[in-house]
Amino acid sequence: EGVDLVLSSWLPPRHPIVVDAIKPWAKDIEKATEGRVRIRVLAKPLGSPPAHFDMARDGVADITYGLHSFTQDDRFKNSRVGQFSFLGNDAVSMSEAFWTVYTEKLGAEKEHAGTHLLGLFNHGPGMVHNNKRPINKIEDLQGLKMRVPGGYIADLMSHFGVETIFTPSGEVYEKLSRGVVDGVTFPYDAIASFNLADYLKYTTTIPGGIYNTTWFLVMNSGKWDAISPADQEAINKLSGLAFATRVGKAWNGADERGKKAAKEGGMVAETAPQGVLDAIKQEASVLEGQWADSLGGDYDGRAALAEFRKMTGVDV
Amino acid sequence: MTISLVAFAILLALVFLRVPIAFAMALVGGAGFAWMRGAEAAGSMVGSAVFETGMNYSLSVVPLFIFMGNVLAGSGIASGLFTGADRVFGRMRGGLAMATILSCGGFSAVCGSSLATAATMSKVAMPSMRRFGYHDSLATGAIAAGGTLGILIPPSVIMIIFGLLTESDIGKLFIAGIVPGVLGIGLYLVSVMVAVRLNPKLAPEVREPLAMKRQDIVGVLATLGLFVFIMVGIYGGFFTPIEAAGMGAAAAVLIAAAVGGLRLGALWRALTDAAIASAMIFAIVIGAEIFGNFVTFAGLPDALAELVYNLGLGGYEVIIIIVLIYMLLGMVLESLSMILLTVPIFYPVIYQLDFGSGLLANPDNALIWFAVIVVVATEISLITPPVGMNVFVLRSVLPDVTLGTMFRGILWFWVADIVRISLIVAFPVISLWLVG
Amino acid sequence: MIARGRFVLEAIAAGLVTGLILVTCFDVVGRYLFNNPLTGAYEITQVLLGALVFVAMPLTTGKGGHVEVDLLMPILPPVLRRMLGRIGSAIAALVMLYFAWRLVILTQDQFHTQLATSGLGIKLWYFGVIGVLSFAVSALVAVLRRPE
Ligand code: NA
Ligand code: NA
Repeated sequence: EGVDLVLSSWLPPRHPIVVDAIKPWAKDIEKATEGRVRIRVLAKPLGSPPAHFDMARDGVADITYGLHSFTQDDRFKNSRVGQFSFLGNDAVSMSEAFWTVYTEKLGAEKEHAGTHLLGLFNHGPGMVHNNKRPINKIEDLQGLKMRVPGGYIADLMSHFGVETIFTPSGEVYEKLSRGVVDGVTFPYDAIASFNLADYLKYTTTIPGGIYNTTWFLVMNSGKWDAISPADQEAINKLSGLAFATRVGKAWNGADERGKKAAKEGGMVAETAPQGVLDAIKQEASVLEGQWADSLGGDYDGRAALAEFRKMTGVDV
Repeated sequence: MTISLVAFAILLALVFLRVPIAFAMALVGGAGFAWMRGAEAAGSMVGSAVFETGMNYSLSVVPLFIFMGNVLAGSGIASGLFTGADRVFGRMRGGLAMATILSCGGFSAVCGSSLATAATMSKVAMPSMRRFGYHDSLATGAIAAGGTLGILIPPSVIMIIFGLLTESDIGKLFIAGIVPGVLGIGLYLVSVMVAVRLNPKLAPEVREPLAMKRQDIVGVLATLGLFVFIMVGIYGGFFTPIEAAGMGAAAAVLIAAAVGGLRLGALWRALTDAAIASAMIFAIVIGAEIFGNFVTFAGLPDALAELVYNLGLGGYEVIIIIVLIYMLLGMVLESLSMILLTVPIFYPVIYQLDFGSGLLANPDNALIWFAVIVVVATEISLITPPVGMNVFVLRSVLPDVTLGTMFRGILWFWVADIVRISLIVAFPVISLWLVG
Repeated sequence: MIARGRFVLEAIAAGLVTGLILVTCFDVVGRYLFNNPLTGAYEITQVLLGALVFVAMPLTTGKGGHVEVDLLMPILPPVLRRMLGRIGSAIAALVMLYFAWRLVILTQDQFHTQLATSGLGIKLWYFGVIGVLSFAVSALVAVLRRPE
């Protein structure tokens, strides 16, 4: 008797999120339910990364995780609260804030309809890395070719004259080493996990991060309903806010390794000077406003963002 | 594990009863998935497998590398390369078969696909070998085996896919394939010599070699030029290995039009044939994806990994077991599907193996070495019955030669491949020498 | 009729392969000569490739280009051989029909959510429709084709 759950994982098997968050979480659930709920992490994903939300909804797998920005549609519009600039300086406080704000103020459950929402999280603060010049004034961004993940940061960067290029993260190394791009926007962890230190020179950090990406962890609703209320309770204790803390710590550890790799690779890190920050702030508030105005009915995007920043202790 | 084995058995039965491989895999995989997860989940999985395979950026190298081969075949370049190579071996018994091997090697250095290499050389080399009285088995064997070099000597579709699956440096993977590829050419040449020594009926008496013509020189130089263009482009940092497919295709058209006498009609055929061959490969990849999702779900990868751990074996022992698994899978699976199914399972295992000190102490080196082993095992699968893709390609070009005759001729080269993979496993330096 | 249909598909497929080559060339050459890479080369390649695979699928099917193992065939009588060929084609046709059906469902979903590529915002449902047509026609071709 019990429930066997299958988790489809698309990140490389040695990725810190898999090793330090997903797998330990799965093990703890098995322990907490005294072996009645068992989670098997598959060796190979059952579909492409962007398919992972639908896979949980349609029961292809029982549990999946992924990025909200994978699908270019308005399904997860409210999740963008966690993708703007100046959101926080570490992945734990941001992930906790994202879970709290998105579920309490912006209807996260509704946007993840068809699944049971287990977790929401951010990675560490996003920064600008390039191999051409330090960003001392905002005009220094002009003409740089940068790989960006799309969405908010793409709009922000294009506004400052950056030539934005989209390519999967696995190919960034090839593109950087051949000068297809001059730089990337990434949190620190990517320097180590994609081995980028050889081809980057300058890191520009922005207090609170220049952007972030938001992630979900969901379960097929039918499977969730098949779990006994007592075991559901046990899973809930380990999920939600508790999972945000756990996965945030994993990201922070990954960022530490990335920072070390950057230093060893001779990369120079500097905080963006006030002029650059002011220019970003100005454009960021325009984009935030556009998003907030586009939200339907009862959602107050501005208040949600303010709440987010209050929780992470960022002043804009 | 049991359900996976049953599924493999059903798949094999369907394949033998003439159900096209792509659709047999999709059928068994989809039905198996539905059996475990329900029809709706299986349908959703099938739908996205079909759609997303078509839009998979990294697979764009498939039509382009095939097109490149078609252009060289459709102009005089490929046949010039072949007759040029014939000059080298003209005075030896089996010389044309050796020239086939050598020109396959040369062709592989500009073409990323084993199928394109085999298809081209069957059109170019087969008529000559028949005219001079070579036995069909040796002739087709040399072409099918020589064609496998296409994915080991850079550029290579399979190496690109391996690199993307494991997030390794594709440039280094390409370089690692060169020495094992040259070793392959050498061993194949030895195979021809041994074969004609043991069975003189396979090849005719020695004849006077043809004089080198302008076309031969053009063929050899054009191939060499294209190889240099691709290598300088990749290693000079001008384009990525994936972009090399598009750039190489364009360069091939320009070179073939300038010096190879490429006509408009031949260009049209090169384009449409590349499209048609690509759809065939994509259908198989779709089938492999669906079947792979099923066996993953059924827990086959975990069972294999567990097996490896529980036996408590050392690094080399695990590699040998993996090679044996590849030899078995290679019988029934097509090359690309084999890579897509197995590499995600095995490469995390490789990272954790202990190879002691030396070259393999660095796990990234171990992974490059493993890549070469996987590619050579895949090359072997291309000529191992019953599902040997290179043999099928030959069969479609030469419908009058039976599969049995072809596989008999291949046996000589198959033995050479076993020797080669043993050497590569025993001496990692063969693969890692040029990587540095 | 059939010949004309085939020619049209061949022409489109040839154009798509040419397009794939040109996209890379414009991107790479533009990058070096004019410091101006082709924006969205990645996405254009993706959609051209998707279209190519779908457009070529009926052609491949019509040519009998899908890989079959006919190792047993030489020892079987011709009648049995042809019968197996028919059954094999019928199974392939059913699978392709199922592909088409699942793509109908997928395409409805893509249309409903207006799913698009990240950079250029190319709507994905166009390609879903092409896929549906491709596999439906391929299934028909597989049934009508005479195996040797
Ligand atoms: Na090659
Ligand atoms: Na085989």
